[in-house]
Amino acid sequence: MTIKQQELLSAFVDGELNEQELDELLALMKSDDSAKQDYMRYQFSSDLLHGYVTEHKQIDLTDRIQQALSSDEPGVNVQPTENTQTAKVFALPDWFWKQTAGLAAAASIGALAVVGLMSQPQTVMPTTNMAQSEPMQQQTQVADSNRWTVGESEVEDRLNDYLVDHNEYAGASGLFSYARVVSYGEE
Amino acid sequence: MRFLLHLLVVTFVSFSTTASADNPEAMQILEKMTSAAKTLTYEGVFNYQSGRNLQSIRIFHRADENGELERMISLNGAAREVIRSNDMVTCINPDGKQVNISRRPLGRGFPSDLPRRLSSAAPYYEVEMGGKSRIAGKEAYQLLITPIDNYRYGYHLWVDADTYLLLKSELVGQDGDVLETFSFSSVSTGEPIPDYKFKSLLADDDMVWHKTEPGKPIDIEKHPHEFEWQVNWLPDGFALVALQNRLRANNGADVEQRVYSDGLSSVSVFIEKIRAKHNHLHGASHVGGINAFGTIMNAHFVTVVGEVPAVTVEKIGSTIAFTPVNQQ
Amino acid sequence: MNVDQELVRRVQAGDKKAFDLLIMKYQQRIIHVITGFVHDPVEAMDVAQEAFIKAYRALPGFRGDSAFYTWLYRIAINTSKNYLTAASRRPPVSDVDAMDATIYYDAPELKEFETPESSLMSDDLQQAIHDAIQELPEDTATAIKLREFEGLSYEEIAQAMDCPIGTVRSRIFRAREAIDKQVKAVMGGEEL
Repeated sequence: MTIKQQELLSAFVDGELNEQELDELLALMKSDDSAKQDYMRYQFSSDLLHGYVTEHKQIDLTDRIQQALSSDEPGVNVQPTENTQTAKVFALPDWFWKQTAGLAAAASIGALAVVGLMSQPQTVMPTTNMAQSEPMQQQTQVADSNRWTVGESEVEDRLNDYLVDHNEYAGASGLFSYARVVSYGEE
Repeated sequence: MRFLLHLLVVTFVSFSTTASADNPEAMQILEKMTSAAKTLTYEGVFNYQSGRNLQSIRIFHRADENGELERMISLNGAAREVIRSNDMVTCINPDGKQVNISRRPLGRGFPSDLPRRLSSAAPYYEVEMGGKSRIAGKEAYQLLITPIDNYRYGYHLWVDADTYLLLKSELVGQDGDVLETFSFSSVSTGEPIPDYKFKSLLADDDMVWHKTEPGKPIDIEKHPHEFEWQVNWLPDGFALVALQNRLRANNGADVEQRVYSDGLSSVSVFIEKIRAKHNHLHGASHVGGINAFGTIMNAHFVTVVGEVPAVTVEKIGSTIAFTPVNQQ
Repeated sequence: MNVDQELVRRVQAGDKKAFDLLIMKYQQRIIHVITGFVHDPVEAMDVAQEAFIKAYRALPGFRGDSAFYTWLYRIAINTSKNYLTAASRRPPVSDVDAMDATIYYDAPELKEFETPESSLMSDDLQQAIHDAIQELPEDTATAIKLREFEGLSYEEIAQAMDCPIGTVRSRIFRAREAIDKQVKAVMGGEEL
């Protein structure tokens, strides 16, 4: 395995390959067992950083999946049953319909309100995901320009109200302008 | 409950029209672009980058005989979303378990008078055509908009050569730095979008819904205090384009918003009566390409917010003065 | 080029090996998602296998309207729920509510779950990773941070760091090697 080849494997973790490199990668995977091992190491280190690793172990399901698939041809073209299966994924839960009715009603009576748009992340219940799996991410937020550079939540809330109100008039960013609201404070 | 006290749309003052030698083709594209954003049905994913932050946002936008309907969902982190239906804006913040609905008094009406806006902006920007390039797989015209002074930002816009949809937009600072980028990574136009794609799937009964009953508009003539505040300096070409008062549902604060624009860039001045002991922004702050300047004056929070350089909001903010109405 | 899309296209054209790459790339993440429902690690692996098989079978009909991972994520959640129903166990109520809210999104970065067990283990590991990054040469550290924490593309990193894309690629590779080494050391030689 050359350094160049290892770099190729690492670039695949990031989806940063052109078509020719993808061909190379596939050929490499087919011809060299250590390619897979190296790739798995790089992928694992990336997964670790994102907190996707649930067990200490690096897991590999490729063999058992391929086995299951080959004992189970014609795999690829099994359509009808799977279609009904995946259709379920898109079924909407009951509360959704309840909620949309509420939304429509609110709109039709012309309810008006302008309130604090975004509650403070500090006062928000932190999910374990946020709090524990991404501590490093928080350390890199110093230069974050995605939030108002103010210390107090009360002030930040007020500025957020203003941000929403101002957006209606934002300039040439036009159709994109509410993106600032949608992505406020996200990392 | 009182809510919308008053709404006033001030027509544009006629600017001294020494229109600079702008590229007429570019101006035409700019006009078509703004109309396309309102009249096209499109869906796609765009990236919003500001500093080192990069967000992916999905957008659905439908325009038909019922008007405009739009939904944006943040794809990274908490799935925050904004839904706009004509003049109604619903912001949903799943982390905070809050849903906020607000009516945009000027809603779809602004900025409908684009040709006039653009011609009013013309003296303060140079508008040129750049080369053609491809964005999100579509051929795009590039427009380079450069301000004539340091009180506003420039824009680089990429506009779909076919549909005139804005595909990419960069907010450009004085030294050529790109402050914010919005850029479609994929977009499709003209395909019908079903209703359910505009419904929030996040809002549920656990959420706190903030809404306020509508109130009666109040005649501005009977509330002359609106004019106790004067904005004494604005960059050349900026004029009052909107003025509104409202009561916030969450704290009952009475807030006046004045919007000043040169046709492309805009600045809002917020004047909020202090109802109890509160803290406020002293000086400058920013988020992405938006700068703010805050101060406290005569028991009011005075805040200037806009997609203009820090110096502009600061200068506007520091010249705002309060004159009691009986002395006017 | 969108590599996932291209891999999907190749699987659709009959290249099974291309599907291996998609499994390798996403298995850890999918198992992580499934563990939010199915807490037993062995069962979670079974459910993950089933999810990948379902995905493979449904792939001919996948039109690329959403990102591949988003689509796979939905299948994984659906498979988990089916599994729990079949096993006559109900998922904790709060989990279901939160998940319902995100399932229907065409989101590349969907909310994923951390189980208490996994959180426990992450302290040592996070520290190891943090140390590994601290010890990297500055350019290498910056490149990996921009990639993994800020989500920038190689091109964007190259622009930010004013260097060729090839340099970005090799810096990120070196960072991953270093992190891998550190992690292995912390895990006390445990086979990864």
